[in-house]
Amino acid sequence: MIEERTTSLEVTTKVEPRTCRHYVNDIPMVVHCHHYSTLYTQLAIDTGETELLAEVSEEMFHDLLVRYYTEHSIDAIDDRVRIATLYFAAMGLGKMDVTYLAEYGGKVILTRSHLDRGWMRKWGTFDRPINYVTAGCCAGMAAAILEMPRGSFRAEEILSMVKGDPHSEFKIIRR
Amino acid sequence: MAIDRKKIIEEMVAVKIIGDADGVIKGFNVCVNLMPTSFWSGFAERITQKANDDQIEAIEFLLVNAAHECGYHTGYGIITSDEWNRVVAPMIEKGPEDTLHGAFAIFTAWGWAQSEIIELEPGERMVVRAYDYYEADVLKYGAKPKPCAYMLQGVSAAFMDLAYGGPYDKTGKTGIRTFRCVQTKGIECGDDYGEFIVTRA
Repeated sequence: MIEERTTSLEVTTKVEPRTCRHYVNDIPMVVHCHHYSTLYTQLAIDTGETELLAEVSEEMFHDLLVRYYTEHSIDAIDDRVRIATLYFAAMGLGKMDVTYLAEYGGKVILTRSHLDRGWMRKWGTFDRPINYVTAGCCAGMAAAILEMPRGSFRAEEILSMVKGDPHSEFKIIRR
Repeated sequence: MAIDRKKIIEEMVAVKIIGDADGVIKGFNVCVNLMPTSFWSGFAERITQKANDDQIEAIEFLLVNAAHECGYHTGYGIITSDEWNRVVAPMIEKGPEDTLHGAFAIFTAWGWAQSEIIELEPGERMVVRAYDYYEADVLKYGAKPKPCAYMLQGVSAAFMDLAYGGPYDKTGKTGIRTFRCVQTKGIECGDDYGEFIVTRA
């Protein structure tokens, strides 16, 4: 009999008693709503700073994953991919499926998306992709999983739920 | 005042918020996310640092506005939630004033800022002090020349809108922006606390 082991994401939460700051896996985290994330995205679009938004997101997700992989000795690629998708879900950002990841690129499908759903709740559909946050997460995730420097990849959103596509799709490209 | 701030904080701090298998966090009639504070303050810091003199006022306004809308809509979701009805509603004697104090207790409990109302002139003016907030974390040395706790500014004004700006309007056409906030002190500026003065717009 072959026993399959499924890697699960360990989540520890704590609250600092004096300030009430919340920590997830010792990282200070905070809850925000789709109004806030949508308006951050709109600000990035209006100022031409969507690359900056993706970069900040990439840095956030990359560093969070590298820390987790190191602390929990997660070395196998399969396990790292699974942890990344579980962490993305735990943050309420959506449901991510990594179709493939290679040295020079990859593909990620999003079937549930906080950013897209939030945008559509606030403003309806749009004529172009808006999920720069997840694009950044994809780029950061790829580098973290493959143990490459942050900034090794970028991601383009080639299908978008906000545009009316049935799911969102991200193409990961090696810089 | 019947609001037991300590009890509210004790109860609300225990509320667990994490995404389900579909990556969805439901609550307060909004879509919710849970992300590192460094993401929010990092983007705000970097976009304002990059801005030139022509852009900075608009960018700061939009950062505050993002929080103003968040505070208004999510704030309404909070003050009409099961958690609020269970813990805070039984304490309320003077409607808007107690609601405001309760809202800032929750604002503290859920890690946005350790904050409280210092002065309140019902319907007109509110002064909030924040003794710890993640927006100040970007500062590593020295003091910034001007306050930049944009999220706190926006939410403070939003809470006054909810208390005294008329019925909640989910379209955002009325009620919201009845009040505005000016930040007069900041931990990021070397002060002991952030101070936020809200008045009619």
